[in-house]
Amino acid sequence: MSVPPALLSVAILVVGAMVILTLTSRLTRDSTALGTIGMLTLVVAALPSVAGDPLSQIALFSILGAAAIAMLLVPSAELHVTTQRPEVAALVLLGSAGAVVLATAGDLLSAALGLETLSLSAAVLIGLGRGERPLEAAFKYFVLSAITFAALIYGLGLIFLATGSFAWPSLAQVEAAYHWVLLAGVMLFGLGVSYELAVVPLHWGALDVYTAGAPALAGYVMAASKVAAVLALGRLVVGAGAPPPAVLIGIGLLSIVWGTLGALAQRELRRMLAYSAVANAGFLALALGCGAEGRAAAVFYVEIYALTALLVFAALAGRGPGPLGLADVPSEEWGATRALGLALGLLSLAGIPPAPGFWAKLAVLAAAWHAAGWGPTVVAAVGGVAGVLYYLRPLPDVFAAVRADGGGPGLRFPAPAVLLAGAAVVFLGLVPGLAYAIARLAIG
Amino acid sequence: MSGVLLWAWALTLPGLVLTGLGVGRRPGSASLAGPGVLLVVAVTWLLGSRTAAELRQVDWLPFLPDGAFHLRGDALAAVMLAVLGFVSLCVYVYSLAYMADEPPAGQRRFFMYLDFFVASMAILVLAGNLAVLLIGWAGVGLASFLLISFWLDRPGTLGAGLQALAANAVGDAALLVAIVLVPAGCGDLLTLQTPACLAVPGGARLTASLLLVAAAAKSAQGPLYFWLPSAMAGPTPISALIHAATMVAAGVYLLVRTNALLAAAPPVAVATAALGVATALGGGLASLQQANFKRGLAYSTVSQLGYMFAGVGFGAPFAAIFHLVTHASFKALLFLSAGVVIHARDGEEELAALGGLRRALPGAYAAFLVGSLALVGLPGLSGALSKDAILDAGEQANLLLAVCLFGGTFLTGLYIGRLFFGVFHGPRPDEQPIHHPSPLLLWPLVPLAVGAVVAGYLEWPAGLLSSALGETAGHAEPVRFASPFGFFAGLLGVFGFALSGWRGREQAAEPVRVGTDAGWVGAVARRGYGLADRLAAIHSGRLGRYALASVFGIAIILLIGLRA
Repeated sequence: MSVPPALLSVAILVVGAMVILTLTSRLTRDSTALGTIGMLTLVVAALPSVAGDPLSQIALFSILGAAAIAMLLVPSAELHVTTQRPEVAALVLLGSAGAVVLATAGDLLSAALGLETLSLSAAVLIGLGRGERPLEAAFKYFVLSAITFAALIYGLGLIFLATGSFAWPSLAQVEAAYHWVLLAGVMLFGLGVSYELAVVPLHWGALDVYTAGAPALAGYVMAASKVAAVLALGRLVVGAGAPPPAVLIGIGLLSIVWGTLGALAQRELRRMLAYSAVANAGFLALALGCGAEGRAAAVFYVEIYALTALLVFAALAGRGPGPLGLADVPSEEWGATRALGLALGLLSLAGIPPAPGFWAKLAVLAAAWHAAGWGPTVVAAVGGVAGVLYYLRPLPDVFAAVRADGGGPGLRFPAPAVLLAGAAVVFLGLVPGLAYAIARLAIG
Repeated sequence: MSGVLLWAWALTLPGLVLTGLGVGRRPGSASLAGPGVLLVVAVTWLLGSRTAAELRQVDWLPFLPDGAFHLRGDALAAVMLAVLGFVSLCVYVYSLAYMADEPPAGQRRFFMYLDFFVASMAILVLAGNLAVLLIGWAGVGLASFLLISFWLDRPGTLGAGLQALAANAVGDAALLVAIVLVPAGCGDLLTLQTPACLAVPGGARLTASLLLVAAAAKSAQGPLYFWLPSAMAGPTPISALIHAATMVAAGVYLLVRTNALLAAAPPVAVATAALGVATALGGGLASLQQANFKRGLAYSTVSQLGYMFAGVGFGAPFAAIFHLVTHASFKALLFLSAGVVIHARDGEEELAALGGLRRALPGAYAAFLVGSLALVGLPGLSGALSKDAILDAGEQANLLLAVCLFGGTFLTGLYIGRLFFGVFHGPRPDEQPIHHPSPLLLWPLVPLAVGAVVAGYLEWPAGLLSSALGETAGHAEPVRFASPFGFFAGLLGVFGFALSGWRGREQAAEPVRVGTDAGWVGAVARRGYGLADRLAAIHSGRLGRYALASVFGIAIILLIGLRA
């Protein structure tokens, strides 16, 4: 019996995490060795994707890619206890293992297991951040995730009751045995997964996490959980009949409006990014409810969004304490790489072509027009263009802050992570068709 | 040559990089070559064999009905590029002197933004389909925002930039919807009106209306005019290049480019003409009420763009493009000579504090006079001929609207006369010192002044412009110039201009304030932000409430899903 490639990757990730945890005392002093082991684990874990199907390929590439950028950021992560870097690296690997399981699981039970691994790692990663707020945010995130996880487990039970198995419900099954028990089960399971997406009304915990967590880690949590959740939800709605997609469209539009209004009210960069993450989750949910084209658009969108969010958070990493106002000239000397990285990320999030964020929005709009018609398309288009009002607000200051590289005194600046994410964003902007084609193969 | 035309958008990018790297003794001098080469390329193409060229990379964006990377270099694009190259070259040279007081890093940033703007504008006019058009469309909007907000430490600049973004966003949303709703394979700007491409609910009217909304947002027409006067918070060279000559005319360009679609939707064409006429009159009236020099000119731009919209709506896209060309020259001239005044008076823009500058600034005086006379349409100058073309078209298409527009020329004379006599004639209100302008500020006025005088003769009497544009600006009837209608419109304008001078500067400078500019925008913004604040306040950070909201949220969604 052959081992599925994704499972092999998961095993490698877990082994890597174990190795790091075993060597904690030594790696605390040697950050080069820590980074090497972490990156090596990620590279080896990516190898089995050669033999995988498109779904596991896209899951491995995007989740492990996010983890790689996070791994580059580990040395500059703002931690409460600075000796905990090995634990952070191990948690990134474990969280990635959970995310890969959630995205590629063969049945619902494994998906639930992956989800729990991911969200526990995420909560701890956030809690390790510097200051009081990260701990509070992590606690809220954990408690709220327990509530939605309970719903998910209950949904799992209902699905088992209706179909007698933990397999992903297929369309034939649903139509044959279509009654409210199965439908309720599918919806509860889907809502449990949606928590990772941070759609309204399950976004409360994520808002605090995105705002308060150390930037280096919050970006990773955001990226990995959204990628995994989109892939899992995409597989769930394929065989879910009519009501769940309609519910997703409704939730998506609500999240777009909610996140856009919330972001408009913010005066601080991190909070604005957190609220706008809700609006972006709305685009994802909307796309997931819009048929096969929509599911492809959702995967395309989440690839680009995750990458852009990582770029923005990488550019903010190691910036030093204190909130960053939306209309303040950044007080410290910003390196050119940091400022340009942040600017590129904001442009892409705002949807200024040819930055890839714009192509992603267009793909969702095109799918929404065909599957959902007038109303949702117009709401999403207006919500999408309104993004310029908050995303571009800091831009004049950011450009004005461009100085010769070097950074301020005592700040560790992770240029490699910004350059890696920035290059990927530019590539996706110029060759969007490639990423879209892969997305379409992954979830038809 | 035609191949080079397609890549004209890249010509300012080397300058952007070099300026960013700090090349050039004077910040920005490394950028100067870009617009110069652009002008040469466009003019050479127009004087040459004029073979249209296309670049088409299909399935660049596979999720769109027409996702090709499609550039089209034809006569209309070349004319727009020539205007862009001409005005931007003058503005670049002017800016070397105008921005010289900024710190070097700021000057570099300014020229990099300018380079980015020119590249985006070139992509906009070279776009073959809606998807590529949107790249340029959003790019010029971004450049406009960054340049309006250029002086970050001055109050109100960021707000003005955000106003521009908000108005643009309305238009962008309309364009986005237009891009996704056309049937598969439709997106080429020239074939939107083919029956296969109109096979959507709403058909030609819907698509044309969406494009009209987009164009109105970009060109500050109708209720979406509010951002343009605020945009005057940016440096004056920007007001000349972006907010008078080129970017704000992009809406007119879009409607001319897609004029066949407009012709297929007559009600939308009438709406375009009515919108243009209303804006032309409203802009003229509003200009009379301004206490600020640049805002007075900005409303003049709003009003003149209204003339162009009216031209397109009358079914005379050529007349609109003709007026776009002449207007670019004389309005840039007006703004740049206003900039000389403002620079000489250390940034003073209030009309009440300006006056009697005729002797102190003879260069600016002469330039502003030439620009004003071209604007009011003194027979023989460029503005007279192009406005004549629009009025003639109106006479044939819709007499009522044409008569309103005819009356508007009187307003034009009144408001520009008020600005001209208010600033240059009468007594000096104070004895503030005047800095004499450097030659770099004055030289760029010369080619623009020449353009303001002679640009009309590109068309009359030999018809050079219309034969160069050919079918790209719609097949129009040959323009009959010097018709009594157009001639009297010019005289009416000159009469208004003279009347302003006769009333004297004391009265002229007195703003007639009736209400504020676009009060509805402020009201909408306050409501919107109020709603946003209330919604954000729901996120109290209290775990108990969050938990309760999650549980109820799950329950409600479950119930809705099960009932569906």
